[in-house]
Amino acid sequence: MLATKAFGWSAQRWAVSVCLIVLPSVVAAADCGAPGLGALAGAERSQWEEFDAHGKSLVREQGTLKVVGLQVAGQCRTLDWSANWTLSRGERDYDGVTSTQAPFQTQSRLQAQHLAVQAWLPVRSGWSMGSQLGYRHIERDIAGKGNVLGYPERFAYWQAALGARYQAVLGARVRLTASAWLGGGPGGRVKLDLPRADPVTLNLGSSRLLALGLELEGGEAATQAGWSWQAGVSYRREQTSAGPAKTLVRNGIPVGAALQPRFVQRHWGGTARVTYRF
Amino acid sequence: MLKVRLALTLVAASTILVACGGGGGDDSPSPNTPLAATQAPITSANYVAVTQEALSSNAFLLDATSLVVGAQVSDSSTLIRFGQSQLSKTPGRIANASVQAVGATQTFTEQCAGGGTLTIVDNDRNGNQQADAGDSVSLTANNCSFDGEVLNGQLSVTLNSATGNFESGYPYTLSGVLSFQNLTAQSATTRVVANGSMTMTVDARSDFNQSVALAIDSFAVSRTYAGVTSSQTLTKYNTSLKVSPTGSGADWTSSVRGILTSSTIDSKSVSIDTPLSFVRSGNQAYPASGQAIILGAAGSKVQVTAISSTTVKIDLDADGNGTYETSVNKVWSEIL
Repeated sequence: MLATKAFGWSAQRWAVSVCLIVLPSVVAAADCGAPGLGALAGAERSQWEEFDAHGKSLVREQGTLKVVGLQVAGQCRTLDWSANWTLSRGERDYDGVTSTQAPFQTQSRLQAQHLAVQAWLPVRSGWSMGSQLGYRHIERDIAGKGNVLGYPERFAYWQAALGARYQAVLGARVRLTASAWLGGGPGGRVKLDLPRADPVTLNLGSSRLLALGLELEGGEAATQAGWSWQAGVSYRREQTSAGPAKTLVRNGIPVGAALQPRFVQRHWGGTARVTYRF
Repeated sequence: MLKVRLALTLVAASTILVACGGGGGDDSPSPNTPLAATQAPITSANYVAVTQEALSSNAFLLDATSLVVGAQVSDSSTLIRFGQSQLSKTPGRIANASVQAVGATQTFTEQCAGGGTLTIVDNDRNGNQQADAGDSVSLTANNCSFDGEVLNGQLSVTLNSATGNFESGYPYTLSGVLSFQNLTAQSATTRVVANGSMTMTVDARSDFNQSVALAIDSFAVSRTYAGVTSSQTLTKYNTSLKVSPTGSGADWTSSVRGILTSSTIDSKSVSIDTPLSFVRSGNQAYPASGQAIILGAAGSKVQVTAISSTTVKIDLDADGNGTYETSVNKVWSEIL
């Protein structure tokens, strides 16, 4: 468990350093304006579903997560950039089956962190093309009930995406931004601490990502110092392929095998953000 | 039929108890002992692993717990659950068989829920459409889906007895021989092959007053977990579980006596016996009392004592001088 946390936090600290310290420094040296620092809060409806190799649904989870986050963003001569960190926490209702295929309902406790850096390159009036690199760390604790044993899972994976953005000016101090991202990533990892086996790390399959966003922004213009506000809604769908099976051992003896099946995440959210631009 | 399912579920829900137990209802004081040449030495380097392997040796026979599905995790209890389910169905199959010439058999095919088929041969020996001793059912699984796994191979069920209010309630008794012939369960992560036979006896009087016993002459299981293969053979192996009503629910009492040969101990053997049956309260995951003795080569011995429902003490007498020179307390979940 400690190793799991160490793995997750070390990678996140590295990414935080890049996103929040190194990147702004590099940007500052590249003929860029002063960055803005923002804080956000919101909520998202979170859905998680797992499927076996034949496409049969094994597990379906749904719940509402609280979301908080930080953003550093700025404009350079030729591009816009931002670095984001978000934390989502909450519980989901678990409706699935046990390892013996018996129907089972419980809860899972979620804590998901996402770190991302992204850049937008204007291509024509109102339109920009973007690229994004993100790292996601998900702590999922499935609660046991009765003789059915729960256990924790720790997911970690990287994703990259290409995006398109359209911005429309709605008034002197109000503008609307619509964005779309399409991407994916290589297989990540999930660490399991199963009740009857030593902790094990499973490989995940590759992932695909679709994200859509709509944001209303007001306050000082992007080139002016001062406060601004943003309110947005978003939709994100991720699909991660099944990973390979791995032998489970306990005290050095094989006791079973496990794989992470294909899973699909869907998130609908709304956030509000305030930004101070220096 | 519902009550039969309950009884067999009790067996399925008692894995840990029996996994810790021994004796099979036999009160004789000494366990079976494997031949000296095939006995595995128990040392300070392997005694925890040997304990785990010995206590878990029938976990696939009687499994108490299951996991929620997050990752897809497979173990090897599916074939036994399938055997149990088919034993419970046998009296009904015999009763529903069409009238036939005495001694004749009839074959039909049954669809498995989730895919595949079972080819079933009923043999109502006297043609009376009642479950009598000697009546049998032979099943051939053809990619038959069961509990999320795909089964192939053969299982035969021969009734010893079936008496009582079997169809609609308690009490009843049910006894039969389950014979596995290359019966294989395949999942995305695991392949398990079983060969051998066991006699299962159920005595059910109410939901919380039941007993189940398994008597095994020889039963071999080969498991491949994500490409890693191991094997176990149980010989002269008897195990039992008794569920008794208490004020707050039920106590689960289990015992075991037999010989385990395992690839994890260089295909050598140890014997296991429970001089004190393990007892678990219905609201606990592990037994709070009971003791097992595991014997290896040259008198090497392990004593396993339940300290509480969370802790188990493991003592080692590696040189067989009667003194336990090494001891460790473990959390039950690290062993079972």
